[in-house]
Amino acid sequence: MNLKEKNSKTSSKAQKKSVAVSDNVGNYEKHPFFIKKAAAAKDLLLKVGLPEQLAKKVHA
Amino acid sequence: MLNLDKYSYITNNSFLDYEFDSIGPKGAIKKVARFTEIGTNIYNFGFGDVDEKTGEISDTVLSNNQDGDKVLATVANIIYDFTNVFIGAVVFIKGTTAARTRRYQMGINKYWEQISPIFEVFGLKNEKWEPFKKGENYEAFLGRRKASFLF
Repeated sequence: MNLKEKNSKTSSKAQKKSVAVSDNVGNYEKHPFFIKKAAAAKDLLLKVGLPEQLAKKVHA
Repeated sequence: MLNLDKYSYITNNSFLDYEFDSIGPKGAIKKVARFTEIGTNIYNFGFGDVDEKTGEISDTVLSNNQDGDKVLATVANIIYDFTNVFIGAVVFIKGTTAARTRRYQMGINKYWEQISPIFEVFGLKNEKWEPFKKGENYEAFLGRRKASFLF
């Protein structure tokens, strides 16, 4: 994806809501706290599944 | 959404990470929320306090800044904004402790009349999902914007 496309998608996303976008907000994708919580959530959903009304695919 | 007293918050270009400061007798406490994809358009909602000295995040520490309702309103608005960007996303919410999960439940109960027109919400009970009912105790929650309320 080139920069122009990315900016276009970002400004499109920003327009969808009034939330302020800042470069100062960290990227917590690799933070152990969120990794651990996501893993626990995934395990639970793989165990109990989803409501029929929301049937989608949980990553194994 | 909800027209409640809430903190202003900021996000980054991914719209997956959100930060705000809780202000109260304990001073300014940095809060962070993160949506982590765990399935096709299914996201886990994680939320906690940041220790700005160590970078550690916790959702078991009692910050006790006397602004619980304001924090909950802020969280609700974050989820609303997130689901404006990630159309059709399903959001999974569960506290690290039963007490935390109950806190989320109390928030959903309190603002249910405002939430229910906008979101489909399910609660987990005995390993089975059911449509959320006020007054019931649940172990986890799933929510998705109703089609009629997609931005």
